[in-house]
Amino acid sequence: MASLELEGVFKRFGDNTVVRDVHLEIEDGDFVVLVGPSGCGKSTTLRMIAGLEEISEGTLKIDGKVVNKLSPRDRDVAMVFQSYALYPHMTVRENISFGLKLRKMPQAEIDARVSDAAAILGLEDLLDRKPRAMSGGQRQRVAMGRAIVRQPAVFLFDEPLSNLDAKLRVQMRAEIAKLHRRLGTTTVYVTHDQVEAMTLAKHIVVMHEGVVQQVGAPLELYRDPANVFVGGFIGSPSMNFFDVKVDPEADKPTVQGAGVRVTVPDRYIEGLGDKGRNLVLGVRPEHMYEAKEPCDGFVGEVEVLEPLGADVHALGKLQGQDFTARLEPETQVKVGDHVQIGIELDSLYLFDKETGLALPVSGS
Amino acid sequence: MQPGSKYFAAGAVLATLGLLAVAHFDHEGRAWELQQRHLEVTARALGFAQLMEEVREDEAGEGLAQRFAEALPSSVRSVDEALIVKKARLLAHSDPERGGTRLSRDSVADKGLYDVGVALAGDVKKNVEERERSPELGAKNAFPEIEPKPAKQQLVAGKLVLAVPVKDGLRYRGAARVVGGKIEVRRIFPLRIALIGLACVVLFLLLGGRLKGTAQVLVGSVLMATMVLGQAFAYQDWSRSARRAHAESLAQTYGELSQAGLLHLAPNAEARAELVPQLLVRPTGIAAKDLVAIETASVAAQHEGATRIDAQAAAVFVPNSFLNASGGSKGLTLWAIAFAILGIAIFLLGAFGQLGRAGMSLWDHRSAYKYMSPALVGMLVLVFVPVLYGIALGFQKRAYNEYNFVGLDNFVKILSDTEFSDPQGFYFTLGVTLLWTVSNVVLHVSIGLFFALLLNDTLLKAKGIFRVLLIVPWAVPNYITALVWKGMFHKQFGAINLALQGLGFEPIAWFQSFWTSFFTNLATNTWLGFPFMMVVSLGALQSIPGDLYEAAIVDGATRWQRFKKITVPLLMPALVPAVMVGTVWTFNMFNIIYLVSGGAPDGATEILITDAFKWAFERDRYGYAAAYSTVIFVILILLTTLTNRITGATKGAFE
Repeated sequence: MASLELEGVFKRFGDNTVVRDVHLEIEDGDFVVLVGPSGCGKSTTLRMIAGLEEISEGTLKIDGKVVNKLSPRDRDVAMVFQSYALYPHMTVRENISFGLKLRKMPQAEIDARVSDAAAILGLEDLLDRKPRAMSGGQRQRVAMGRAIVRQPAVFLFDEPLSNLDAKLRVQMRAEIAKLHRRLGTTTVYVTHDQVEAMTLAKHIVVMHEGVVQQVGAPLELYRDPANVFVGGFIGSPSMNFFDVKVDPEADKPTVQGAGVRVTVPDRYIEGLGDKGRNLVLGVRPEHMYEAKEPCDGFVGEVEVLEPLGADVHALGKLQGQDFTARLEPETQVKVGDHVQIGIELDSLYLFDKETGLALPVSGS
Repeated sequence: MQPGSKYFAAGAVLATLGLLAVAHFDHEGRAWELQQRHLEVTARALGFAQLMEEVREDEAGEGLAQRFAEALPSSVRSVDEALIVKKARLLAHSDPERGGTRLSRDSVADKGLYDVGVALAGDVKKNVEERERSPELGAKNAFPEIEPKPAKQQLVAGKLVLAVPVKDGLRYRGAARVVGGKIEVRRIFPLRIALIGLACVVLFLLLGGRLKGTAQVLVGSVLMATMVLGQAFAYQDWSRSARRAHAESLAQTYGELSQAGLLHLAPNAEARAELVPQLLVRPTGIAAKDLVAIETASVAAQHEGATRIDAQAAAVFVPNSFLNASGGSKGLTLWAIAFAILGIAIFLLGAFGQLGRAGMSLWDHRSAYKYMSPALVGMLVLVFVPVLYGIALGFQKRAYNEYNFVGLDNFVKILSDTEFSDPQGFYFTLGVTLLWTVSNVVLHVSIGLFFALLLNDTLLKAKGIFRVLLIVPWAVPNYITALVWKGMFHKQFGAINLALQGLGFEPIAWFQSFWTSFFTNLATNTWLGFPFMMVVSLGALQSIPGDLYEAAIVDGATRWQRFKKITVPLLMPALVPAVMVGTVWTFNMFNIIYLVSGGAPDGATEILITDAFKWAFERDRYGYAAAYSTVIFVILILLTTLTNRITGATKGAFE
């Protein structure tokens, strides 16, 4: 078990900088999820921690010790790969014990650890099978078994669930969470799936184009996205964005544009800035509702209805901009209807159009 | 008892009975025919026509040959009239046109006899001319009734040639033997045939009874075929040794005959001593000569008491016929095959209705077979037929452009050549071949793998160029490469010796000693062979997912451990079949040996396949060469099966 520290870490491939100035402090026992769209540098960051990629600039410390130049075998990390990377010519037992054998651990100890790991992961009956004869979920478990028998200081997961089908993914997600609760090992987990990130992480690191956008607990990121990117990335369905301007005409502070008109809540008034300033209005679908009469919001045409049972997602267009609203299940709205959509003022976000950063919030 | 076993036994019994019947009739009606004809011709030639007539009149179903052999010894003592003339030539005549049976120059069986007859006719003519020049030498006409045309010629003379039979007759072992001038045939062959049949049935009960379906069908069919062929061989063996016994008996008879003639010609020892060196002798083998020498000496001693006749000059007599003791009955082989098929058919049809089911499946998948048929026909014509023909050729011997069935003779001869240190010998060559194969394959794989690992390295620049360069040796036709290397190893002008001299070393006569000569072959073939292994290895290396190595790195494997635990096991599924193919290629790598060292020195660096080539095309022994090739084939099958068993190559790493 160990803490992990990245200080000003860069990764360059030739002229191409894929990871830029990453600072992270990961406490002992933490579960950190690096999340972002593909190509955002999250996997590269993980591979630098594992030692599979060299660090171009900056320092990486494990337990306070700089390990930039240490080979992976000396870093005491274990990694689960997206493809599982099981050794196809070895049985499950051999796969799991491979790292221990290489470290010349006594056989009795190896056996004990393998059977422990197998018990934790429910692999007891599969120990003598070869990877080929197993399902995706079983292979996934073997890959985790291979990591946990090592009892490493840090677990690294590189999109471990993306090759599984949706149902299995949910199940394995729960198992990983359980495993972490049980072992308490410091874990760095890479995924592009924000649901995984939200459900698993103690702390989420959102990355975009090699740069860390925001670090925080899942709900923090959901409630207070630092910029448009984080706002759009976290949450499902994604946040709606509307280009708006601070309305110079209105008597109350109002933003409007592209058919949307919203009164600015008090908490934003202080940082609202000059009239006419270009802003981005962010509203999560779950913070919209079907209104009976004109109110803060807009009238949009519904193009698609997605009844999910618990609620209905209405997808539509508003002057060229897409929107998604979550409506009550008993709504009578039909495709093609022009609906008055209301926006909950307590839950809207305003971002600066140019920088993408969230406007400062006062009070509360 | 399973139904399969029941029907196997039924098939086996039927096939055995059929074969016994055929063998019986073959014995009575066919196998002795040729021999009797020879005896008749010989007897006529020796002037025993009258005796022959007697025997023939007396004949009542008994074998003519046997009767003749019995009758002859008793009459030898009184053969004064037996064709003895001037210059101690034993006169006789075998006129092909007037022989007891017509001889055909186109038949293998008759050819030898025919040639002798022609030679005799020439001799007779010569003698007649000689006699006309010196009429005082005239003697009475020994046997006017077979006088050659023109009829007025009174004297005939010829040399008689004793060929194969005595030699073989002396060596025979087996079913028949001569007891006191009589031939005694031990009729154990029916028992042997029956025992073979029984053994096969028991074997099937032990082996095949446990198997199911196709495996049982296969085992049963093979066993049935083996059984019938074994029975046929047993019969052939029996009949051959019986005939050898006859041959021996005849040889004895003729020996005595000639001694009598000699005594008649020169009653006293001095005259005989003078005479003996002039005797015309054409022994065809040591055994024949020895036999006659001993017989002659002993008879002479009996009659004269004192004079010893020089063994070397002693062959007098002689029968003018070949007794083809080694020939077999082709008809029987065909019958044996027919019965084998019959037995197998009963087994298959009865036990499984497999044939019906096979037919059904053929019909069900008829469209598939339709698409396969061009390939099947191609395989049949280009592969199976030539291979089977080659194997069949191994059981035959070529003489006068015809092939005779000789059973396992060729194989026995090949495998019983136990001169281990003789560079021409089979086992020496086999040893060289194995050494050649192993050293080549080891070098091919290690060099090929080495380059493949280099080419697979992500850091290597200009991979394409290197890859092309490394494949070049493979792309050049190998005989060109072979000749280039041969030139390079030339003692005077070769690049290698020039380089050695440039460095101050003595030039090496590469082809004069075994090891240097072997090295030239090895160097050439290594050059030719490694690119294949490189390409195979490279392909396999590239198919190993990179994240396996990363996983191993994180697991703590060093570079060497990664090679040993990841690369090597995952290469195996591709590499083992390649090694097997390479082994077979190298084992049969004719071009290099033939073109580079050419077997020098003294055929020591020859491998089996070049040896087989020499047997066929330099020594013209096609049957022997075919048997040689079959032996190579069997060795290769054993070798690859063994490799396969050990490495489990066909299982693959992913199972």
